[in-house]
Amino acid sequence: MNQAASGTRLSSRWLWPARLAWSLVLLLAIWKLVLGTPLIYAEKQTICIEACAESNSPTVEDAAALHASGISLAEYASLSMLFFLLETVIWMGTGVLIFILRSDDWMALLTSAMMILFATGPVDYPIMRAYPSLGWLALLGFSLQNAFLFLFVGLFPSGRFVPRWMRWFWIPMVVIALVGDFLVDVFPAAAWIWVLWFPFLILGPYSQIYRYRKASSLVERLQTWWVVFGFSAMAGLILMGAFLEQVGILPDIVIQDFYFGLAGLMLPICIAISVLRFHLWDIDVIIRKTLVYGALSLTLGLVFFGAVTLLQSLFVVLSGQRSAVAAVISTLFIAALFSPLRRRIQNDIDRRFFRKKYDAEKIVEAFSAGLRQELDPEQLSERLLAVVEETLQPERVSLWLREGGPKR
Amino acid sequence: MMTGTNHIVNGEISASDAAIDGLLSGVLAGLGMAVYIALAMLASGVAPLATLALFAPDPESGPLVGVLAHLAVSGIYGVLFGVGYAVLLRRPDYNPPVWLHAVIGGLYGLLLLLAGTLVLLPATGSQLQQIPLLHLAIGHLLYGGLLGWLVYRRVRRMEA
Repeated sequence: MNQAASGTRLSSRWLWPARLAWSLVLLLAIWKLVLGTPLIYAEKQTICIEACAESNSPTVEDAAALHASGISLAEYASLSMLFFLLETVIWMGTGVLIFILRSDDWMALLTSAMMILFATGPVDYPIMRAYPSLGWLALLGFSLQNAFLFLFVGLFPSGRFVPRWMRWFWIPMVVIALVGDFLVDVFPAAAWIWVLWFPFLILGPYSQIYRYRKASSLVERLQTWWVVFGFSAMAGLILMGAFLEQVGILPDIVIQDFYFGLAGLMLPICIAISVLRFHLWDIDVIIRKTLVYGALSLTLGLVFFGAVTLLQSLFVVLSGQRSAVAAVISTLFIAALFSPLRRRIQNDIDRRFFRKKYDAEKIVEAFSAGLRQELDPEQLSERLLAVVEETLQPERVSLWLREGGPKR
Repeated sequence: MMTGTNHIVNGEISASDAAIDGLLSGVLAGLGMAVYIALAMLASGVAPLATLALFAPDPESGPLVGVLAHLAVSGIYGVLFGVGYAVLLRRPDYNPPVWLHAVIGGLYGLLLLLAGTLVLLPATGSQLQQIPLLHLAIGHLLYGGLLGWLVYRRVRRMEA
């Protein structure tokens, strides 16, 4: 958040009340974790027979898969809890880090509180089931988390609603997020109010795109890019996980308990970088590398799969049986393809998505090639200046040459 | 002419770049072939997903594995074509017209069809034998023609 420009800095009058409110959110989150963690652990150790959608317990099929892999239910529960704690530490840790470094900025406090409550999301239902009398506190945490998410999407990164009329949609939605669950709890017939959330799916992206194109400064655009990158990386990993689940490379329970959690960690990390403006300018490099190595991994995986399939068929034709040599040859094949394929994919991606960089590289390449033929110093100077102009686009450029220096 | 260190010196392409050209073109051409066969089978009353599942090496696997296996194998055949093209056809002083590339590719596709239907598919008990030979033949012709055209385009673009 660009504090000077957006005015998200808290005045001394609001500083301590805001910090106090944040501390109350942190206390609520810690309370939920202390109460809910043992409940999740207990659920993980029992097998779910019916109505398993909201339960953390493994199903009968999951238990069979674990048994087939030689993992006991107790071992699975311990591993799963370790992973849950790791996730919680990263979500809450990044939230607390934002508070420590930017506690005088209300947008940063809002983001931090949202991340802290997200860390405790999985314990809400177990608490409500086990302690109905304390369920409202868990529900309060859940409602606050949703309200903070709405505000984050509507206000990030400048702290203002853009366009301004958007607040007339956003504020009612935040109110619904805050009171909706309590209302539906008392009057189940009021469940239709969740329909009012649908505009969020359109207005959220619209607001961010509008803001990015019309109202954001350079720093704000980079902040937006980080969050978009976090969402995209998470979505990409989840899609890949769904594919791995479908083709049966990884068991369902591993995907759901570990892999999806791991994918979700992209979000807090990217949001923290965005809000703290740490290495903000590296986003181009990271996106470029992600695209290149993601495409490279997919292509090499496909080549390996194809080579193994084809070679196994050949071995069956030649010797009547399958052979491990197919895997060895396929591995050597993809090892040989790695470098040229990476170079080609990088070239294609630069040409399509990073045109300026691609053009600059081409210009420098052409200049280097031309150097061999160019002997006139004046012509050379002119060409050098032209290359600098084209590639770096500076405001001014001048070239200083030393006259009559010693020959080397 | 491009002056990168990786390849193309005096109109010649390195084996690795030819392989990559063939790989990427092979995957795209394989996609065209899969679409054709799925549509042709649909006309015979077989659902596209059921057709795509026939491409899977294991009868238990679904259409996703089937289509991936088909694209992967198409890519590998594309590599062979790409390398063969660079070694046998590509010469600095010889540049046949684009239609000839498509015809050469088509012949390559028919060669693959022969190898597949006579040797590979019966030996491995592949489910692809359930697809009528006519559809397979047109699919392979389409694959080869697209492959030849795409490899030609890629090489031309790199030389530009």
